[in-house]
Amino acid sequence: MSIPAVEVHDLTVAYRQRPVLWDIDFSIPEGCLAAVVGPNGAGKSTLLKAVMGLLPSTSGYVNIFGEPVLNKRSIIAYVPQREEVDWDFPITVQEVVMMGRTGRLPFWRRVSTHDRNMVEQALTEVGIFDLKHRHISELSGGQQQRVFIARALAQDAAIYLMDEPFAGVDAATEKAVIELFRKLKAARKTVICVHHDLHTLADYFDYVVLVNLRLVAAGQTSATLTPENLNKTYGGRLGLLSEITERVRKRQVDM
Amino acid sequence: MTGMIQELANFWSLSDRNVLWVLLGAALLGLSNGIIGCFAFLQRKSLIGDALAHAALPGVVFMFYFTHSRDPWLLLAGAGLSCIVAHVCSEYLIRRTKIKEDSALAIILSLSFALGVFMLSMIQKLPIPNQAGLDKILFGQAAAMNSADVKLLAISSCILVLLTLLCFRSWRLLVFDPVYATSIGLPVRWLQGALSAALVLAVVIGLQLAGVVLVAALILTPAAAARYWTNKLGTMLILAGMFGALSGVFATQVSYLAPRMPTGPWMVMAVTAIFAVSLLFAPSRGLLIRALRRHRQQLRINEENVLRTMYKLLEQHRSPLPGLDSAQILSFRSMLPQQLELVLKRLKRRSEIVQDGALINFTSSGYQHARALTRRHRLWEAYLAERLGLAADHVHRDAEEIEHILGPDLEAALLDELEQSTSDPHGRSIPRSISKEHEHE
Repeated sequence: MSIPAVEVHDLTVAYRQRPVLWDIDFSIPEGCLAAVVGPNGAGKSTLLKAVMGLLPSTSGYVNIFGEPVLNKRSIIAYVPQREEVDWDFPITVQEVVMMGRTGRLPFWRRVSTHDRNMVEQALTEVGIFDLKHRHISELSGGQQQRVFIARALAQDAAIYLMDEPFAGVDAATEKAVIELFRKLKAARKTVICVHHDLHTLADYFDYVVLVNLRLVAAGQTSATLTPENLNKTYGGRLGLLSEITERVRKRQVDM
Repeated sequence: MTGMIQELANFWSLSDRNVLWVLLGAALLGLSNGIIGCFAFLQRKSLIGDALAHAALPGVVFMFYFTHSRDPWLLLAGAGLSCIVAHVCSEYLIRRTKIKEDSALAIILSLSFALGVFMLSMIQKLPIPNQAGLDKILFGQAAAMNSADVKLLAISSCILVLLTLLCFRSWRLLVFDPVYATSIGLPVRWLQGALSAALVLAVVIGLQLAGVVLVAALILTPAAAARYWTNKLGTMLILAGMFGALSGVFATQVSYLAPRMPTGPWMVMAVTAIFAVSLLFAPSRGLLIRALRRHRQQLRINEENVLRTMYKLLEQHRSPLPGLDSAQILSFRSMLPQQLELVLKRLKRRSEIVQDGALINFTSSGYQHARALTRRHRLWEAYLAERLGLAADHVHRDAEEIEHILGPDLEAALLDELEQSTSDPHGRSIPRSISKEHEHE
């Protein structure tokens, strides 16, 4: 069996002293379009951040193509939720996308022609080339999302982690992004999205990870997206787990 | 008057060494503080500058107490140290407790200021020589600047400007999107540390000139002013630096001409004046241009409303009327008579209507315009009623607001949705588009 693109092993993550994910285990094969699905507050965004090593894990590990994630950051591209930044920041579309190229460069390195080409290609790929000189406050929600995706594309990564790329975007953007996903898949790239819309899940993604504080199920969409699993993901019966989480938090605060 | 010009000439001949030091010092301070301040401003950490300035006070007094020296480098080190302690404390409070950032900073700010004032009054009772004027650090005193102070200012400003040039790309990314910065493996903690250290340095070198209480203004106000003029961070940094330096030069001049005038407060006044001008007159972001834009928009809406009212009144009559008078329009459209007067005047000037005595009627271009507006209004009403299931008496107000925003693209989209509709929810017919009519002919 080939090495999975992402392997999460027994991962427990605490966020502000509150465990939000318990003992997560799954692996995602290369070239997959995978969705992380679960109700509000299930820890989906946290899982994505933990996969990138942005959050300290209490136990367990994440491997990217068989190596610890911290050695492999250069092949992971992250698309944060739109709300996470200030869209009035004085910066243009092109400059944001250029961050995908130059973010890691030491300060003495100039922007190369290759960097410029990659940025233009990424802008074209998501259909916002004409907007490249716009200030970011002049963008619609869908265009903002495209800017973030273009920035990730400019990184030329192997794995794309996206936090709700379809949240609050227009139909045209959704279609464009799905088109792009297909292209990425054809190029053997791996895409992992936090996704909210159960109706489109089976159409858009061929792999799902169902979480609700713990892993409910993970696997091919056709086999995993069963009413039974969905019921387990959304149907509650987690009262006890939440209660324990709350207690752990309280005790740590008291200490 | 001639005396004043003479004084100004004296000032700019820079023959007075002391004037030269103060002028250089104030300009350099304004420049570097303006530049560094942009990052704090954009990170929404405006209060931090103020907190750091107050936190510097106990450090300065403490250092003086131990070394009995007024060497600016030593005092700077003392101020820097206590700023760092205060910064670490407030970060701890913010991260580890439920206290929010503003409260944490306010607590640290007042505590360190109290501590500083307390220590100041204590050492004044001790027989330490050379302590006269140490309390000037509260409000700053530019006149006392000497070459050693200016040297320190010059070196520190150079460090700050160089650091900004080196870190520009990373700091911009850090301030804009810290999570993404971490995800691509940037040393975010180090970068933030460098940024905080730069801010501490900027605050501390401003103490002698502007004083503990005012130095925060030199950090934030230039940035706030510069933000009005540009959408590019690089330009914003340059502008903020310029604003700071300019106000430094201006303040030095004022206090030269009127020796009782303190430089620091005048610097704050000058930079705030620049901010006020920016707030009012900046293109595209300034209050004035925005008010003007709103006013134009309102005029346009009034015009469109009158056109549509005229259309409605005229279409009700089978046989064409020779025209309407303003009383008829006013009975259907609630607006002041003088408002209507203005609107009619503008419409006449654009030859959308003609007036013959009291009677007003469309020109052919005015008629087409009114017809297109009515069409949009009724299409939207029909859409609301059919698709959203709103009652007929609910849709008019909504449509009133939307019709002014609907462009040809949305009109086409509406039409696709409403293939069958030929009348609005009130039973009035939706005028067909002019181009369609030509097709039929």
